[in-house]
Amino acid sequence: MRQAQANPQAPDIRVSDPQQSQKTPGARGAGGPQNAPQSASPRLYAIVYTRGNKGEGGDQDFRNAAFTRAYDIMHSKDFDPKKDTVLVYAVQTKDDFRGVVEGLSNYEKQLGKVEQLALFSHGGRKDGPIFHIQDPKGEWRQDQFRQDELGQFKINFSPTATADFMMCHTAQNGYAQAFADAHGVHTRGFGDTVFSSDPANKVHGYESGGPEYMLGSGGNWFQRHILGAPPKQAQDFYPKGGGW
Amino acid sequence: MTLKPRTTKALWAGLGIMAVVFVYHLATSSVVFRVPLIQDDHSGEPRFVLLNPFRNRGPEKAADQALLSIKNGHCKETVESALDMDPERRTHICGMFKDLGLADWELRNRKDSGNESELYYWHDGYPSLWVYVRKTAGTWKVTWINVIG
Repeated sequence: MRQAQANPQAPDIRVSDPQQSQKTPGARGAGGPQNAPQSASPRLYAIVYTRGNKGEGGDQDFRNAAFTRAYDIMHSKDFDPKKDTVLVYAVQTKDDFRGVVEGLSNYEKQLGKVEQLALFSHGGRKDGPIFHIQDPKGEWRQDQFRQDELGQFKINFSPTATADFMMCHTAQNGYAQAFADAHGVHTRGFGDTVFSSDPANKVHGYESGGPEYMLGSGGNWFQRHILGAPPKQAQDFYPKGGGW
Repeated sequence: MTLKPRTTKALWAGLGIMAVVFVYHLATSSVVFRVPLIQDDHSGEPRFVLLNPFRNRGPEKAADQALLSIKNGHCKETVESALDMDPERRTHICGMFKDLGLADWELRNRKDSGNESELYYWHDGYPSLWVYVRKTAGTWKVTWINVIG
């Protein structure tokens, strides 16, 4: 099975943990290939999560959710282990992320075009995914792309590709729609998010181990825990033209 | 209950030492206390900070002046003299302010070390703005700005 390979052009960026992928139980298909028909061409799935969220926390949750996604893709019926590949990356800075996503085109001959790009991270109220930058004292501070920057990336998407912004706010602030428009790909995003041990109906329980998913919150703490509001799946956005 | 004279003396001495330490703290620190374990979810900064009302406001005045200038549409000129920002970072930050706007800001935390001061603000009601200032040749100057939205 081809999975989670290292990026030879960015050896400092942490990749793959096949052990965790193998340990993570429960292939439920959430986030797995949805639009991708069985194809003769190899397909590349890039799962990216942020690390270094020192102040705001979340490193372990993003990592767990990213590996759950990788596991689900690899165990979906559309995944052909002989030719399809899942790469998992941890990134900290904007340059890390840009290097990863633009570098994926280097694999086209070997691994195919990008069938899915998913990013697990914190999300700002207006400017999407939150990365980190070192301040003059060496402390890590939050950093983002401006609204127009992600639209300028050259990402080697396949014609049936999807992009998932697994973070807060991207469904509400126009970020997911703008990305869909700029790159011509089906894009998904959330309002607010929670982590769950179940892709459909629970909002807690992953603390004891097992798979961890990122879902739309379905409401605030009272609505979720007292009124029982179920979590939501990501919202879909399709290219309309225009964009950033 | 009656305290022995020695106990009373010790109590007063203890209180006196505490008062001296507190006055020294007020004279030298910009923050009276902060609760480190309760942090803001987004910025990771402490949520409860009591600023010292007697602190030196020099760093804050320099930061306020810079933020006011940015608010008035002069971001490029303002960050031009920010010594710790490279040209790419300056362009990026001005682009962010252009996207986000800047209406008001509120100081929520301050960390001083030597000639430098790190100021953390809520920006338009959202925890997302840092301004660093440094005293150079007797004048406080902004050296680095970060904003997220």
